Amino acid sequence: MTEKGRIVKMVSQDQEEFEVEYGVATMSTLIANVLQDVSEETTTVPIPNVNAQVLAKVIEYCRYHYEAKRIDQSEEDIERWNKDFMKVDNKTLFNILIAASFLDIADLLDLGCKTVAGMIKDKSVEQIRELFCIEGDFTEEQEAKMREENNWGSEMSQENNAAQ
Amino acid sequence: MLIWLGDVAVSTDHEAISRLKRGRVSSEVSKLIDGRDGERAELFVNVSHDSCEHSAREVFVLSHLARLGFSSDFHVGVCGFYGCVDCKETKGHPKQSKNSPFNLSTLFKSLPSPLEVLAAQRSVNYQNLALHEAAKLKNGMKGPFLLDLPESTLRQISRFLDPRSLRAFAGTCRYLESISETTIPYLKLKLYPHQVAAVEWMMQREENREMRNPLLHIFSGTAEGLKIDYALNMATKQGSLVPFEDLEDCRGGLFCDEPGLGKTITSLALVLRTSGLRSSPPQSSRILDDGTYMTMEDIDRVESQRFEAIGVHRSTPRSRRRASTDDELVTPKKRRVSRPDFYGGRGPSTLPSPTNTNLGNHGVYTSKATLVVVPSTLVDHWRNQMALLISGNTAKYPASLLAEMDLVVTTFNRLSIEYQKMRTGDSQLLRVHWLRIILDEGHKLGSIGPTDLKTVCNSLRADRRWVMTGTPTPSTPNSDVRHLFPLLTFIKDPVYGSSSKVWDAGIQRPYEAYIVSNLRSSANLL
Repeated sequence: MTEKGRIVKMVSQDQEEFEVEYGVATMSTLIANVLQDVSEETTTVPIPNVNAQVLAKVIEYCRYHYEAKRIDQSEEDIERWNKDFMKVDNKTLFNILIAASFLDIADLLDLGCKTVAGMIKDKSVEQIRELFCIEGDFTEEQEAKMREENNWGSEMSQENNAAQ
Repeated sequence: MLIWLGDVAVSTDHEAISRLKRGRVSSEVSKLIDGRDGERAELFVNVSHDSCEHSAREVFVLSHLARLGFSSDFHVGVCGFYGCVDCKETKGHPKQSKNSPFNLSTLFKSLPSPLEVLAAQRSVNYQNLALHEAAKLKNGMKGPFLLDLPESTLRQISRFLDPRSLRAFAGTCRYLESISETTIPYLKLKLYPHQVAAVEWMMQREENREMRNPLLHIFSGTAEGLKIDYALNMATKQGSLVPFEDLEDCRGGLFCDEPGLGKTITSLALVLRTSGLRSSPPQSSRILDDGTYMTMEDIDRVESQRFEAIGVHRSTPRSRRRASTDDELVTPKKRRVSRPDFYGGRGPSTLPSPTNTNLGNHGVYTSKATLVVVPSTLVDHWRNQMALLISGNTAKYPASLLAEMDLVVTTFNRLSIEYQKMRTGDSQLLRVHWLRIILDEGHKLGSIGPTDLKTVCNSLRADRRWVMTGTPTPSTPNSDVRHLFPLLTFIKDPVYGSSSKVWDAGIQRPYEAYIVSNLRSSANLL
């Protein structure tokens, strides 16, 4: 049984089935581990905590990167594709991250984390809180202390921003 | 007037000690004070550690004094044992443990490991997630939020942040703070748990701005219906009523891991964690045109020197002053870790020598750099570690640039040379207000260090000061706490480092009494 012909059926939370080639599916370390123990031609893997919409996105990512590797896509193209792929709303982004972390797809997780980090970059505490609906739970004293300690040479970062 | 209260005994300096019952102390004191209105009362309370009621007794007497207007001026003579003031600590009393080995190594071993302390703190943080749930409901929004992500994912996000954003990220809520605590930006490899703990501890030390003087012991009690809090400085034997001012804590400490545990890596991690942060000038200082600052004393000093030097030509044209300092500033900014070759002949002497008439050339640069002082044999070690751990090494060394770098490595020998320059006011190292200074193998300062080296080290300006050593004191059986004093002076410990008198009273003598509250906070053992 060659690996090439194998098909993996991934079943999402809402019972939708996705048929994925073996090479694409095993980009998830989790699925690769599952498949190690079985040898049938078609394997069904339930993914109980990822819904169809997100799973489709994840599979889209895996499929592209699987192909890109096969045909030796240029770094720039991959990067551009990644950037486009990450143009989603926060909700989807977090869903993808949760899925990537569950399915253990290191590259996707990396990409998502970098995207979130990019959103956080150069923002103030208040801006980040608003962006991600985070409620501050520090005491007044702690807040004051943190504000005090904020001499980051702001004129430098402004210059940097201008340069970009 | 002198009142002596010991074993419930009251006396004045005119009288022999007379034994009195407690009930009579009150009337006796009142009588004595009533008679001498306005006179400064000196009160000596002699307490015995056999009975731990002494604090109640003191409060009792002091409440009297307070009511009569002798509020803040009293002396308390404790009966020779520092430890007996706080009743909880009488366990360490030398009378009970005279035979136990009273040397530094057992003392150090008894210090609580920061690992345990931090673990206890951390468990609190997760409880706050409930608050997050509540916030979600309030907003009535659906879908996962940032905080719904798995912890490992959040950690990974934090790893992609630069130090500044990381700080903002951690500042949003306690959960994210606890997550990002262990993140070291730019570091190539993972730290061991003990190293992570050490970095966290060091961060905490650096962020602590105020602290209570450990020499002050707080009593509070109710005496005759009057609630009184008062504090007692155990070294100077000065008492005062609460509230009193907290001290500005030294931001730094002694970082003493055993050899091989990765002190270098840990301190590099600390540097990375805060890279980008600037030192802040002292409050009473003037910001000059070029972003440097001078304290008022410095200005006075320079002005008077200049006066002597050039006599009448006191006022330099402002425009000229500005021009020359601007020249210094137009230099490419170095990002990431730069490593000036600071040792061996070459050095800041290549800079244009400061002109006497220029105030700007005496300004102190605020800096985001960490100055690391190492023995010359260890320079290569630091270089290797840096190359191994972080990317991007360059070598440059002009003076205003020193302030823009993240890390400057120099040697003790170099500092000794700087001493010569210091006397002529020409030392470039002293013109930078460092974000942090780390002395590697800092115990050199403790015993054998030549005095001029000590002078330079102590006059270097920095927000945060660390002494890094595997052996804070010489490893002889009779090693002495004495060796720690110069180290504390260097890190500018506000209490014990400020004068040898306080050191003697606070540490040296009660050392036998096993109460070294300051070291407890300063030593980091694993």
